[in-house]
Amino acid sequence: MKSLARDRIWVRAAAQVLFFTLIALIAINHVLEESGVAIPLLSNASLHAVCPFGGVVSLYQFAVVGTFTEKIHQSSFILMILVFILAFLFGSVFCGWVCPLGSVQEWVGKVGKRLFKKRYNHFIPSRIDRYLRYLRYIMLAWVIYATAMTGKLAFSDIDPYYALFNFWTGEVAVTGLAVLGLTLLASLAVERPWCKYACPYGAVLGITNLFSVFAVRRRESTCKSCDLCTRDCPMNIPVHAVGVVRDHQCIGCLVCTSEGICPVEDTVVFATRGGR
Amino acid sequence: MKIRSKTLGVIIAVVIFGGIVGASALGLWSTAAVRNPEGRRLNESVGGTVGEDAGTGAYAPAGIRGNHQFSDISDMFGIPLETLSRAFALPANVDAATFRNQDFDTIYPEFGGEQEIGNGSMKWFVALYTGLPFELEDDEEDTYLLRPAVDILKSHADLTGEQIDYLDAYVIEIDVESEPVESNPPEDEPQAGVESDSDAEEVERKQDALVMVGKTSFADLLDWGVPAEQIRTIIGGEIPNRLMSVYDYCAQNGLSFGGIKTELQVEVDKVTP
Repeated sequence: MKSLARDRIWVRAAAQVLFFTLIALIAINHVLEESGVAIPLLSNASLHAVCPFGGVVSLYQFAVVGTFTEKIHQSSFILMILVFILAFLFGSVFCGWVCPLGSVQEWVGKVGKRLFKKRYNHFIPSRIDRYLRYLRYIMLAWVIYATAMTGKLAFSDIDPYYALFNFWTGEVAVTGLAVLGLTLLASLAVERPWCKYACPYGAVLGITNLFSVFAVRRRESTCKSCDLCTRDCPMNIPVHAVGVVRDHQCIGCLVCTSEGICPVEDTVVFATRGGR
Repeated sequence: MKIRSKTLGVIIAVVIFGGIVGASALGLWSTAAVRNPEGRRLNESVGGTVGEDAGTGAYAPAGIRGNHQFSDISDMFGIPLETLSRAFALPANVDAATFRNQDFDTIYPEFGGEQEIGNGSMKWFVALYTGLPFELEDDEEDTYLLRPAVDILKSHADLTGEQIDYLDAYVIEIDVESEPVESNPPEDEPQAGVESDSDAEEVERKQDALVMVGKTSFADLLDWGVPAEQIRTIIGGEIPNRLMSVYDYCAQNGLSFGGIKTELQVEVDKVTP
């Protein structure tokens, strides 16, 4: 039964489908609107307008000049604030529950899991992998610096999220399509490769895992040390070895909890300090 | 305190959707660049949107769609069809009455960079021609007009100096003699303007050149190789934050963008191979 751990967190699966569908429909509606056949009651905003990372990359320009980066609007800022509220409370749950690109990687990963079975998500040696996980901070630094210097969305030409929902419009840079293709291909072998190694927004939100109010906590007194939590963690975090998961890579998916893969009731929980 | 997945799911949904609803109620949720008739982007500094004409029964430029024909727009906003035809330099063999906004790309070449004529251009033209406010979508925020449209607006509309500066900043020079086009011209009439070989070559040349436009920032100028000293001399002061556009700088300091633009373009041309 526990092999179906992820399916037991059905609310998360439903949220992923909901947000993916919503963003896909908005992207389609944005194009339909131009020809006068837009879907009623649905936003036809551009993807940039509904991406909270746009707010993050605009912060510098907004602070020093008082304007937004090209193509970024107030909606991006509002979403950025809302996601930060979630992150301060629960860590980077946006990545695990909302981000459509993360969801797509997970869905492709289900195929990879069938192909590679237990080897799936364990191809890269941990001694190398642990350093690769910091690449996304280099990416974040570059994106913020380049955007601050040019006032343009430096990231958009390689952004797989933008490419995912616009590949059919002809407006996506070849580099964006290439990055998306590589990401999906790598998802067959590694769970959420973009999130782990390259996502600048995940890098920002991951920092909140270090101090968020809620976190994954393991009760050592009832833990059977079966390591199932670690083995099933999509982000390869050694949950079994820590009391509190404060890893910058945790996406708050709850797969490791007693609601998910942990076979002992009330042993791995998502709680505040003292709430275990 | 523990939290289960169902509760977490509900909280995430409430925070995101509730936050959007709340922001909308406060007038803070805007997914588009908003301009008033003066051409300033409002959402850069203030919240909310320009009130549309809902409730007045009048048509609003924001409602113009890609599938609207020129005759629709002419009827809705009282702009002569011939004026629209001239403003958008329709080739003589195109039926102006039935021409749709979504078909602009079939008659215009690529102008290079982000300069293009599209539905947003029509909204912008109509808004300025009629004086009605409107809202631009994200990908329309740097909306250009062809030189004939700008000339028509300058001669017809009651424009302020600020509006004229803005139009000069976002104009595409196409070097076309935009002759008035009949609504239903003979099919064998030679095609005018942008379709000719020489004009196409001219447009090609402009694509390769670095051209000062409204959104050109000081960072762009410096990246193109214009010496900082020259920029300081022309603007008559220190370069502000490099991310600021020259247009915004001029607006803030009461300078004429048209004059500054011309002088800076000379410097750009000097450093362009």
